[in-house]
Amino acid sequence: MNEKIPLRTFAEKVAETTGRSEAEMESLIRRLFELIAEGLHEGRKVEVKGLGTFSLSDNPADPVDFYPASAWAERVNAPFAMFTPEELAPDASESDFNEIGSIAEEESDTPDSLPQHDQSADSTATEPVAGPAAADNLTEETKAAAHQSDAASEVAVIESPEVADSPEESADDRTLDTPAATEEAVLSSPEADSFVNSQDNHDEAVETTDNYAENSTDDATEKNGFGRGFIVGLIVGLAIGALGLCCYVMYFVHASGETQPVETELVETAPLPVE
Amino acid sequence: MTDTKSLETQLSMESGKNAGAIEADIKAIADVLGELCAQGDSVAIPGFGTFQSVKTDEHVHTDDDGHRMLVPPSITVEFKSSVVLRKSLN
Repeated sequence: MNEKIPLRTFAEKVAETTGRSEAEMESLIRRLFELIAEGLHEGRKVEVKGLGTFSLSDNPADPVDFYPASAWAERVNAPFAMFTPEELAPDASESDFNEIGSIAEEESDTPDSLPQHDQSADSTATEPVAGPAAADNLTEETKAAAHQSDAASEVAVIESPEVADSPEESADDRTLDTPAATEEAVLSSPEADSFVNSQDNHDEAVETTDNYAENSTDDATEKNGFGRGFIVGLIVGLAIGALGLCCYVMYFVHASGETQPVETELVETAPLPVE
Repeated sequence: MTDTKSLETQLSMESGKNAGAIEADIKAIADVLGELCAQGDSVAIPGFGTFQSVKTDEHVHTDDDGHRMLVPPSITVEFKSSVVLRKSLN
């Protein structure tokens, strides 16, 4: 789509159609257009059956005119062959065109609106980022629990998936809301029905929004999976850190508590040998 | 006027193939060229020019009588001659 096809690629595709070799078709294509150019040099029109007619023009900037054959032009326009020009109602106003345009934009921009939906999905995905506020509360709980015992910190780690599930629920709520909103947006333009057979367009738009909702739900679940893992990892890391700190403090306090009596004993016992 | 028959005859003499095979090859060239242009691609022929696909969007056309027509989108092909061909013809 919108690519510039070189001669070699063109010859490959023709060779696939004819079953001949690429080199053979490339030389044939070159020679065919050389003969057309020779005919133009001699000031003649050159007609190629099934393609069109080449002729000289008076414009020195573009000295060759190409008039495609009608059958070939229809084949080129095949993607839009089903459309025909329609006469517009004389009382049609500019606002009606704008409504048609907005409907057309909604339909044509459905792939483009996916990033917007992704943004909403991102906002759900950022809720885990807002979620760390909740996660901080949890980590505080885990810190307190870690000071008490190791078992308490394990409980806090087990509870963390519930917090991670909450963004998933909110993502579901949002994705359920969006199709309804887009349906309302599409159905809120009944006047446009007088111009085009937009009922089909409405159905297609609803289908695209449904597909879009499914896609965005998948995206949201994928991003929630990432958020859940992040929160669980964060909590486990903090719990391990708190446990290590607790062990260090307990060891230090215990060690310092044991050394003091030893010193006193040594002080008390030291004079004994002197006596 | 150079028609397709004289082109086919010339190509047949040069390549040694029969005119029917050359006719089928030219038809295949035109068909593939049309398919590529229908996809929105452009095809460049070295030393001759480029067949460019041009898409016209849907628009409203107003006649001299004031009748307004909703014209559907369409794909057409424009031929742009190469510099070599332009210089040789001018």
